[in-house]
This record gives sequence, C-alpha cells and structure tokens, in this order.
Amino acid sequence: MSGTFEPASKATARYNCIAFAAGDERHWWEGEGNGGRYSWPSRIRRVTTVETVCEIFVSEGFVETQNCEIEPGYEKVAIYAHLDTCEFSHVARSDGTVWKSKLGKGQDIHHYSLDVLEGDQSDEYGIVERILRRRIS
Amino acid sequence: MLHRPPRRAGGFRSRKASKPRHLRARANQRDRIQAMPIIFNVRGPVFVSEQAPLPSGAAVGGIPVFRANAGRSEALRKAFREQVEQWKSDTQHWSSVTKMLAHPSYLRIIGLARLSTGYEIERLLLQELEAEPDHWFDALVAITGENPVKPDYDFDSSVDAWLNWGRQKGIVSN
Repeated sequence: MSGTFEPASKATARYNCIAFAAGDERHWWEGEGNGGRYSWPSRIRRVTTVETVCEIFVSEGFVETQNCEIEPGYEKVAIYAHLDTCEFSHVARSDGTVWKSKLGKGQDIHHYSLDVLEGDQSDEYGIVERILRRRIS
Repeated sequence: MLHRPPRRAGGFRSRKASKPRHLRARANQRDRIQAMPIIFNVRGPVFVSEQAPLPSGAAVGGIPVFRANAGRSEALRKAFREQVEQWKSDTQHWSSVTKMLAHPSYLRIIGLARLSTGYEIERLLLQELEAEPDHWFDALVAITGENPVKPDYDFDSSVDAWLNWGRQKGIVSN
C-alpha cells in the first residue's frame, strides 16, 4: 500500500470488508458461504462478485456514481476488482468524512483516497470498479 | 582331483539364476528396499531411515526431510509452524475464506494429520486457534471428522465450540 492511511482497529478474522462496509462487525460475509456458514443477504445470489456486492448496496438505497471523492452528506461504497481476473477483491466505505476499509483478516484502516489500496501487490486490491452513494439521513 | 558335475545344456548359470523365478523376484525386492531410504510421506515432510544418505534437516524439492526416529514430534511442530506462517502471510488481506481454504499451506496442514499420533495435530491447531483465532474450522472438521459448530454460530461462538471440544477430549487444558 502507498499513500496516507491510519489503523483503526486490531486485526481480526471475525469479519471481512463486505461485512464491515455493510455495518456488521460480528460476521464474515461471503456468498459462497461454505454450506451457509457465512452471512449473506438472503435476497442476493450466493456468489461473491462485483455485481452481487453491488446489488447488496443497491438494495440498501445506494446508487452508482462516478465521483470517487469523499462527499460530505453522502455515504459511499467503493468496490474493487483484481486487475488480472476482474474478480471482486475489496469494498471500502465512506461516512462522508473519510474512507474506511477492513483489510481481509487484518485491521480496519482510515484512508483519504481510494488509490491507497489500488495496485497489484499482495496487500493491494486491484482497481476501483464501482462507486455507489446514498444521502446520509 | 575335484569332481565337477557336468555342465548343463544352455551354458553357465549363476547362483541367482539357479533359484526359481518367484524367489528371485523376492530377493531382488529385498535388495532394493535395503538400498532405498524408507519414505513415509512423499507429499512432505519426508521421513527417512538412518541408513539414508540425506542429512537431517535437508530438503528435497522444497519438502523438508527428517529422520524417522529423531524428534518426530518436533519435526511435526516445525512443519506445522512453517505452513501456518506461510498461510497467514499469504492470506492476511484476503476477503474470501473459500480461497483461503484452497491455499496449498492450508491443505498441507490438513495433510500433516497423517504424520500425527494421538491428538498432536489437533492440539497444535487448537492452540493456534486459541492464541490467534482464524478460520481453522474446516481443517479441524477434515482432520477430526467431527463438528461441534452449530449452523447459527458466529465466528467467536465457533472458536469457543472447538476449544470446548478440545477440553472435553483432554486435548487442550482449561
């Protein structure tokens, strides 16, 4: 990773980036589910892809946007995909003040731009594929 | 003058050749076994007999080689530790448990069960689970054939279920 970020929690394998972006810090969210053990919205197809992760947030009132900047007054999610396979790799969320990411089984971090996590190194997540937002109520 | 029996038709025959075919095959096999190191597991680690020329701690194709009768438990612990560290390092930033379970080191850890006696590998996994909780549940199910985790358990409950299982079995202490 390069750029500015700061750790915001201890590392834990309890939850992953999708759970964290959805506001759940007690469960690991994964479509494939390993026999249903992991959490996943029942209304969404049980496979973890850029499309299905997008659907999770669309169903929560998010709409797509091209604006990748932090916008006061808007919650946002940014969905990343691997550069080589275009498969889902990560999702970050913003509360209108900062981007927040759960790094796999690692820490949560706060970061001020999305490109901090872009790249093809082992601790990077490819490229931002989709951005969605909803107004903070 | 030494009496020699007449030479048989077909020319000279060696001592080995004078034996019946099935006994010759058995003798050849015995010779081959004595010449080869005893391989317990070709998927690694490899345990070799004292007669084998490889020194302890050597590696063959990246697979660690250990003496069969020299610190087998220590060898198992070392191999376990190495695979755990590799798995954790490689998968730390991954968001998919499905991918993590397919990592070669995770599969090698399950494979170490074949080298384990008693509950050695289970103890190592449960100690690791307690020290640094991670997604070891599938490995434990694969190795033990048991599953104390209920479908509605979350991560913390699953960790507790396995540690309680280990305590009930006497594998780990309270």
